[in-house]
Amino acid sequence: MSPRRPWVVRAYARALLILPRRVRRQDAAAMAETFDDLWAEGKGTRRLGHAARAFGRLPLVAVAEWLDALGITGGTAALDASGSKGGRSMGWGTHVRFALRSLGKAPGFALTTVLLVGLGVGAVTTIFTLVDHVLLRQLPYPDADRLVLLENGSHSGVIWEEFNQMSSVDLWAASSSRSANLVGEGNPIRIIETVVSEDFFRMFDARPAMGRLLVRDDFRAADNVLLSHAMWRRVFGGAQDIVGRTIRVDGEALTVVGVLSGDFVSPEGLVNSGEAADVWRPIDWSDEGYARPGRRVLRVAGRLAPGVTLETAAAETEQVNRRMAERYPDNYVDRQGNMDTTPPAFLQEVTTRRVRPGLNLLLGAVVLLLVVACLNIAHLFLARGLGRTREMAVRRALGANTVGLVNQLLVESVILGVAGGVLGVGLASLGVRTFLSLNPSALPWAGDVTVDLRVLAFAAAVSVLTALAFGLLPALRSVGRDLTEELRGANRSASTGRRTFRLRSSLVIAEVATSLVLVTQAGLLLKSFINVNTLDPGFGVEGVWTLPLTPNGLEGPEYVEAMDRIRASLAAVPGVTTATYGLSQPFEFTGGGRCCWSRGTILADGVERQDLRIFLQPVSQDYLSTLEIPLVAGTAWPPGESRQEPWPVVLAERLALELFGSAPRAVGQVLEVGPDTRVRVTGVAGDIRYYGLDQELPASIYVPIERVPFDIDMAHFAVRVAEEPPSGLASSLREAVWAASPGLPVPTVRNMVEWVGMSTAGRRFDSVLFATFGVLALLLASAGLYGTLLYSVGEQRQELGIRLALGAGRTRVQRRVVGRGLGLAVVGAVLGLGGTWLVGRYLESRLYGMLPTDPATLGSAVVVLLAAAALASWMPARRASRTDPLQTLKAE
Amino acid sequence: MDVSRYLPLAPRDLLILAIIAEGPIHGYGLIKSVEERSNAGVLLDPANLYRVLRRMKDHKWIRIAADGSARRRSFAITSLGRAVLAAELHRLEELLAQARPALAEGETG
Repeated sequence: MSPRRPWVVRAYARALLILPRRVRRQDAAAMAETFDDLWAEGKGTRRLGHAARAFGRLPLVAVAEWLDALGITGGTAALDASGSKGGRSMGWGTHVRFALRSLGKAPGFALTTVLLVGLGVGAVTTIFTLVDHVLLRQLPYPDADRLVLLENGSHSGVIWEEFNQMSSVDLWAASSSRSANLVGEGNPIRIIETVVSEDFFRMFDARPAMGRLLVRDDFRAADNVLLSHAMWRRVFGGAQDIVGRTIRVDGEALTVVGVLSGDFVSPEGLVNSGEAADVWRPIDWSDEGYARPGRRVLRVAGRLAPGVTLETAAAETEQVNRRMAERYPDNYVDRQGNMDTTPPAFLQEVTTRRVRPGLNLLLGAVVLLLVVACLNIAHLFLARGLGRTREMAVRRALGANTVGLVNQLLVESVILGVAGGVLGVGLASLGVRTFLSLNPSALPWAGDVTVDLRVLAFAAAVSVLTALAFGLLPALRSVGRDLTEELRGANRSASTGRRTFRLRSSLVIAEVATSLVLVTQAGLLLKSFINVNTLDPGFGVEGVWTLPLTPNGLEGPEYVEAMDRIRASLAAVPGVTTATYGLSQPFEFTGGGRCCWSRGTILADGVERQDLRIFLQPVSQDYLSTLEIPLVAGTAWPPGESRQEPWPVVLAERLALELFGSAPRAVGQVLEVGPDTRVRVTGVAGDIRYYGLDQELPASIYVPIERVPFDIDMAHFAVRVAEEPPSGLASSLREAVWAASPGLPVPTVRNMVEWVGMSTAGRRFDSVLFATFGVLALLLASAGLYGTLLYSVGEQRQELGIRLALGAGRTRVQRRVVGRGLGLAVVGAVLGLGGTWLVGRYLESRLYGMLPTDPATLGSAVVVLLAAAALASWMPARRASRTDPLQTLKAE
Repeated sequence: MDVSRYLPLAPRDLLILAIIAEGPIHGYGLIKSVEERSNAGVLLDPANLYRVLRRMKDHKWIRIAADGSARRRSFAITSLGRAVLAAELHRLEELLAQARPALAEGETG
């Protein structure tokens, strides 16, 4: 290259080095010369144009040339003068045959690689399937991207009328669900009844499997009913003559007009998947409750008019809110003077908000696992490639060209990738099914998740990319070595060995770092789970059985009378010591839901406290004694006094301390907990973790259930059983309920221990899943470390042999090797701690009573990792120390 | 000699082949001529030009002219190249002849 050339030309000449060697040999000099001429001749912008073109297009040309050189595209090399394929490159069929034969000779390698690819792809695909279905895919409704949900819970019929006047929304749907009792079809059954507005089924694209959907005329009579497909199958055995039949729900006779198609997906947010509707009925607009602004029972969704943005709709809903606040200040303005709002949010976004962080966290974890698997694949290919450099060199000497050899490695990688992918997809469909059957966080929209084409494409892309990036690239190192060098045995030369060792060391460091992140995550979640489980629920969990009942259609005194009858009947069951009921029982509402009453205000001796969220817990006699909630001060109200004014109540200790500073001081105090509701404290009870072990202690007030002023359709019973529960307890409890109240369904009889377990099921699931990932990653990283050290020990056989011959102790040799392994692990651990710190904040919300940087957990994770590393290093070290100096020297 | 299997040529290739057919020429000359002939419609860069030339050489449409040095090689057309060029021009002329009436009718009608 002429030194007098301008720097631009020199730069171009250097840039041409990215072309394949064959191209460079033939034409690089001429290309540089031509560019030199263009540069010399041109002036100003012309010259810059030439230069820009020459540099700008070079990468594209280079890609084309490489594709040709690798034989992927037709290319010039494959065409001889006559234009037909020459003898120099083989057909793909031959490549596949060769590749299969060659893999067959190394079954251990092939099997391990397929397993690794399968594991990584399987894990990633499982989670991706869920993410795809829940977060990415459009909802299965027409114009799904225009559907919005009005937030902040349920809405009144009054505001519903106002919403319907809005111009930015062109279709509205409302629904409301409650549990009801179906009688006359064998044992009484508890079902979910959902009432819907006129356009509900239109908006969500429902079709009937039989009969018809609800039409406008149905809204006049309101005694027609549509069955869900599941209910039709389960309760009516799929009877073909169901349409026209009469069923009895809560004492009403309803006519079945149709059965909903089985593929209808209930819209999450309006009808929750946890309580899928069994029967669908028209909203009875003549019910005067819908004219009361204070009765908020409707979930409301709308479809934005074409071209309308969410912001526009939000502005219009705010106007509605403002009108409501002016017209009904009692109902639509809170005590702080804030107007109630009902902002619209996209249906998919709002219904997946709760699970989004969790899914993303899982996706992150499986990606890390895939990374570790990939790094191990790279190890394997690297090791195999080293063993094959000689084979490659010999084959080249015998006339195989580079293109052919590269092609064959390519085919081998792809075959392994495809096999791994198939395994991965199999594992994924298994994984998805397992995941959903556990469905720990009640994934919305996950009803019909399957591994489908879209996911298959994803899995295929991941597996082939994995195999190419981590298989082919390391394998390519075995091609293109000089034959004479190889045959001289130079692949064992110190410099090559060191290069490879360095490469493998970096892989090990990356693996260790990634595994540490997974291991610490597992540790943090596990410790949180343990933290939560060692908490005291605050009452006697053992020996308590619960029966949630839904007595519908009973008015005040009637309700109390009927429930007291059931209570007496339950208490008389042999083995039962006490029985009680309340609106709900502890640990039934451990998700986001909060039953039942919450008032933001309390007046105590004229002092107003607005900062307290108070839970009124309506309970019957013997509630505290049945659950064994200790009394801290005072007593529970005696049966005869529950009707007194002010209401006799028991405070939770937390609330007593908050309001009066001490429990004894609270006894006898009178406070106001709502309009016209004055209560007198008769006692203070110990705090219980009513809403779940990991939830805040609620500021509860236990009030006599007979004072609750409106009809309730819930009565959740609890009984305490002395010592060993008698066999057949569940059925005798059921019988006891039916003896007192025939026709009342008893859906579940459950031990309180089970309820408590369910409240931490999500955490247990998290811990188990992450622990699995962590252990797998740890194993893979150890395997990588082991392989690398084994390789380096093999490399240094000669050196070690000489050392041993010169009298170095075996322990010393061992220590050297183990030290090297631990050195790599320490570097990886340091990097991993950095990574843990980076991902910590994603974990924060799932931890209980600890920070993501919890030193004890991080420390133990590092110790576990280093112990595994030490073990993985010790095995090759032992082999090194057993080197027979004589034999080694002879081999050279 | 059957050259039809090489057809049709990319416009850029046709232009390059046509210019080489006029007499031996080196890379720089080719880039300039193509640029002028096409009124700057076809702009070439060295790497791409030599890729095209290499393919033509492999097909034996052109050869390296005897007088060229390694660096400043000139390319000359071969008889096969000339045949390809002629066949392609013939094909284009026929195509034009077939297509033109459509436009003429369009203008009168």
